[in-house]
Amino acid sequence: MKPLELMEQGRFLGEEFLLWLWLRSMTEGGASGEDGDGSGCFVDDSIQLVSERGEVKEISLRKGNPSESREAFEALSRGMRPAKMKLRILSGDLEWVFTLNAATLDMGALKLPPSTGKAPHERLHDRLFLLEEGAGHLERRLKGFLHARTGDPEGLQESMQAWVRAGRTGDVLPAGEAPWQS
Amino acid sequence: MSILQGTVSLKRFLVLGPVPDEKDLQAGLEEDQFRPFQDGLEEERLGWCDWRNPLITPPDENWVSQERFAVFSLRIDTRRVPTTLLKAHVDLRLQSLQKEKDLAFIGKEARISLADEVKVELLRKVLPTPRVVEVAWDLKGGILWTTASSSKAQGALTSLFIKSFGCEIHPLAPLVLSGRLCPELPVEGLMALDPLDLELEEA
Repeated sequence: MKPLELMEQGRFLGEEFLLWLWLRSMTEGGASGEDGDGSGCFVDDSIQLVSERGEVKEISLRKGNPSESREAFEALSRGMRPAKMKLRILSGDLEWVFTLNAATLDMGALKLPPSTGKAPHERLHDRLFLLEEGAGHLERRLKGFLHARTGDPEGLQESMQAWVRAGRTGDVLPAGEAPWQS
Repeated sequence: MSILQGTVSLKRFLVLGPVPDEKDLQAGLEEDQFRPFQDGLEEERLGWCDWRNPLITPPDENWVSQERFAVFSLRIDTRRVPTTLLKAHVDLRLQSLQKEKDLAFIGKEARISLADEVKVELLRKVLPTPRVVEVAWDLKGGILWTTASSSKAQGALTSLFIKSFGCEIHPLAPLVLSGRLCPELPVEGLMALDPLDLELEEA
């Protein structure tokens, strides 16, 4: 299969991964679900939702708190799916902010934690280490999502539908503690 | 945007094929190093350069190897003569040729050859626009990080990479990454999953 076909085939999985991150950022304090992982992943201030059907094909929600807005849940309940989402990952005093693309899982406009290196090669080593750390946090979550998605797809669908339904009525409140608070 | 500083947009590729040793890696970088434009009608040139400075070609082998990474850049230069300017110059040249030779008409082939001649002259005066794409190749992990964000730059990187190092690169999109992270979950099984339906009837 050609790379482009493979990307198209996996697009729904990327979209659902973004949804899962969104759900967990609101209900599980952004935890990865892995034992001993104190990091948190939160939806920041930008979400782009798309749909192949309906009169509106794309909605961009920006600034404020789009992940808890009724507009976002209305769109989800009409079958729209996240195409891009700005995420913030916190681990200790390190922070990564970037836009995750559902179709490609590319990290756009990535802000890394500050590097302490002075010389170019020291800075490069620092930045490569931080890149891998950030990607590692994301990959741990992708693994968790894949197991949930393949292990109990009906259960995941039900919990996501309940979350969307509650979000439409404004009932979704962060129920979980952030990982570092437990 | 750069891997070295500031915000950065990154794409990852999976590298398939035997990893070259240090000598072969450097040979590939030297063979396909960036070479500046010469006379001619060429409008695009690309090749490898050093990650610290795109004027350093071939990449300095002492700086390419960074722990388990090979770090270098792909430089893509383009030069174009604006169409309006080219047409204006060609029109003037045709007029003066007609006057000089007392011709009523200049044939198609002669017009094309004259246009090429003018274009070569003008291209010599145009400064190329360079674009630099950074590459960090994790030789042990088989992953390539790059700042190539456009499909054109990614295509150029893919083609030159296989030419220089004999390795194919594939975008680390959801299915490929999933297969890598969870080898126990077959990719065919993931592809066969039905997308979750979150549409609510009452919406």
